[in-house]
Amino acid sequence: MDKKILLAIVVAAIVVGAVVAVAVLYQPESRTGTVYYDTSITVPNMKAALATGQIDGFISWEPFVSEAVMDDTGEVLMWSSEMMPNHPCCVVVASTNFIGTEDGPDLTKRFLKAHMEATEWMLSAEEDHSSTNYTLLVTLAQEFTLKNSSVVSSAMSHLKYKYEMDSSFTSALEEFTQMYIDLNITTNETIEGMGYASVTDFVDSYVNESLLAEAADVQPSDTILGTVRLGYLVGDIHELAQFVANDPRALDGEKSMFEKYGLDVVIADGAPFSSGGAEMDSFVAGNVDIGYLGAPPAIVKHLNGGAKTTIVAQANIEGSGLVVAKDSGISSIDDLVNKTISVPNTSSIQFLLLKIALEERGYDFAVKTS
Amino acid sequence: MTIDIRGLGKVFPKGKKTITAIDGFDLQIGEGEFVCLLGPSGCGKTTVLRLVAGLEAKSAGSIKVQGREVVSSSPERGMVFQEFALFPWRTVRKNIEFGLELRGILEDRRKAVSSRLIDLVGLEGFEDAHPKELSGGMKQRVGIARALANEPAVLLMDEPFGALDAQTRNLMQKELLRIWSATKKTILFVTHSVDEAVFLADRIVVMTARPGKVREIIPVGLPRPRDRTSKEFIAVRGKVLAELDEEFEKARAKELSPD
Amino acid sequence: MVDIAKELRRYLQDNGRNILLGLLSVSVFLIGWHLYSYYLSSTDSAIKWYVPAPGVVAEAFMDWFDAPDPGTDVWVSVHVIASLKKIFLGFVLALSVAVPAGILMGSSRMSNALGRPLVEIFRPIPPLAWIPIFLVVFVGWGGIAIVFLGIFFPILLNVQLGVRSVDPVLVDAARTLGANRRQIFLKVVLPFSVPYLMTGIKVGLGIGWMCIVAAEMLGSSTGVGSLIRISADLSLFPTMYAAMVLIGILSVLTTGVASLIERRLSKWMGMR
Repeated sequence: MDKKILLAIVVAAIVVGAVVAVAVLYQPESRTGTVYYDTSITVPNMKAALATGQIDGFISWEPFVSEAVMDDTGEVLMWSSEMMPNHPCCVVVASTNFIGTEDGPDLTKRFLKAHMEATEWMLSAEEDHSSTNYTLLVTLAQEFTLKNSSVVSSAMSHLKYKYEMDSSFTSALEEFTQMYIDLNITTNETIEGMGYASVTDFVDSYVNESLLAEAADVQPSDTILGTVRLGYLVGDIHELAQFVANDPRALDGEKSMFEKYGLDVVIADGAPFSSGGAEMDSFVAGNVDIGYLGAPPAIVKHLNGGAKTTIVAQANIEGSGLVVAKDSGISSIDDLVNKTISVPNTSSIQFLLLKIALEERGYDFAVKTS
Repeated sequence: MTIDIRGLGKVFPKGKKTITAIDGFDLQIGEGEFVCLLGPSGCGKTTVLRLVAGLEAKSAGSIKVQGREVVSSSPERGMVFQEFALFPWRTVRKNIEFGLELRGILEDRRKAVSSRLIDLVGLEGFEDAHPKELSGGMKQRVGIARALANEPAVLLMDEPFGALDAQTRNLMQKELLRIWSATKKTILFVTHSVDEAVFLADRIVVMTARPGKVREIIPVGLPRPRDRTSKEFIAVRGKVLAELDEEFEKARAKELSPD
Repeated sequence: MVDIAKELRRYLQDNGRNILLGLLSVSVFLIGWHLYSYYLSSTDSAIKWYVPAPGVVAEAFMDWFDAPDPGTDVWVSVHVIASLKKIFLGFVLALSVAVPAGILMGSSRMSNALGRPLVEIFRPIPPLAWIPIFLVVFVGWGGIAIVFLGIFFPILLNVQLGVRSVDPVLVDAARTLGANRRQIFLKVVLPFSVPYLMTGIKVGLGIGWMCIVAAEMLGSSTGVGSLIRISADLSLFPTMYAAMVLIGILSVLTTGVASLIERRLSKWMGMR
């Protein structure tokens, strides 16, 4: 019996050893012309992952791009503005249930008025870097993102705050939606099931331009007229407008812009969110009235998950970057073949933009499977 | 003398005190003898057996088996246990071959020895059964065969039939006598059944209550097979019982009075 | 073939009633789920997408056989293999450390005194708590490390118990048959502990599945756990539910295999 046991153990050890070897060493055949993506790393951790060599590059929103550049971890291979000039990024989304309440439309317009005022304040501050307003802008950005002043200055120089929703905005949204259909992430049936005749019809209905137009006529109020539960993404400098509008220093030192227009803005349950998807889930749960997030999750979670939301303004365009390690030898998109790039999520705009850029050059963008 | 025990003593620690289990135990057993060790509960008879086996260390005196002092356990002092102690994951044959495996004996020889013993103890057909599938009596046959496989000088048996029902017990006693006459081993057999001792033994050693020593050695002197109903049998039984009862009383008194 | 058919029929005859009862309770559950989802879809509730009907989930599950998974654009088999790989590696690693450690701690007082406090400190911490740290510290091997931790303790403690529980009478018998300490260890203690080891393996595998799913949900792009996260992120809820069903099936299969091995082993060792 001893010999049989010994034999069994030896055979088992060989089998186990073989399987382990295969598991560890086997890499699935890489298709020539494929770049790989990894969605498992959260944006704040991407820099570290790049430094340790776990990934070959990452694409994320500012200020994490500038941060990686400034401490010499990496260099920008391509800005998102080069992938798609003037591409929409973060938007302001309102819950349709909120708009449907008696005060809803009025409160939303007041919010948008403050959002517009904050945006314009930031734009004019950016024009003169020696002005006190610019210094205040940098300070506010630091407080919001918890990054240092050179990082946030660089970050802001690579994006543009914008609230208008023009035709380039809506056609970009149509393009994103169509990409999701091509990826089988959503389907024409789903869109029709939500009551839209087509992609164009969907974007038309989903973007509410009237509230923004009427917001221009909103007047300040001495009293607080209502409460708004606000959502936004953690440390996302694209969404600085809400932080500016919430801080008295940007106005007269006594009231914030939100208060000027009679709003009591409170942070929603669960905010700040780690992703647009999480924020949309909170919308569905009824915790958020108005929120800032990326356009793609606002689209996907509405179509697939029935989120009762509508886009009421833009927050910014551009402002993301593809970072590769310094001295990595990667100097162009073509060098990315067979490399692994970290993206925030499949529902993120960074994923879509990079996919657009790669497909333009005939490369596949596939999930890393080993 | 196959087994020569002189002045054997054993103390056990109990908390801060010690218990003297055995004190001044003397016994000589000749080759081929069948000796039963009998005594009230707690008299130390199992302890004596374990000391002879070498499973415990003695505190005083000497134990010699075939002229050599007992220091630790060895297959030349085979033991059969009341709880059978068979290895449940081994078949009957593999149990019997255990000691031979330990000594590095090759498979063919092992098989020859175990087959012979299986025949001897009457377990033909059950070579590949596991202990779980055997009755109590069959298990003990395996126990006996396993100990015999190592050709021991003596066979030490610790109430081996205590866990069996009355009928199986009687049967096994007869079987044991048969095996004994076939192998001519020297047997030291611990029991608390007077009837069993009188049926089996050449001599019966009655022990005192704790601390245990030899109270009386009663030769049985009856030809085998013994008739339990015969006058002579009953006479010997009576003598043994008389010795035993006194010790029982002493043991009871000791239990009742604080130590 | 005839034997298998006969065995199957015997099995059904013996357990027929229990099987029917099981089917009944599952059917009631499915019907209840369907009714609830149907009710939700008729209202204007915001959560109706979050509770798809069983039929829709089944459809999403079957879709995996026809096309790559929508959220990740690879076939589901890739995810299944990825998860199985991690569990297997974690399992092998845990086994190779926990068995010797368990034997050591079970046979040596000193080892036990050394090891026990560490075990008592770390065992109560759910392996899942280490996920954020392991994902970063054990780059690429984070999930495997979590599985390792989850499987390690059941095996360690069961092996230790087995070694300590060896019937002393068996040790006595071995000694009177001439066994030295090494032989007692190899031929008595080890075989005696095998059933305990198998119990540890069964328990460990179940925990291992929970660990890998959780680790993948939080930090992986592939694997059945990541299917849940990615599908939820894209609000592809039928696919998300299908992923949960898949995980359940895989878990039952692996622990079932372990159970089967355990039964065969016990029979071969004559202890069942």
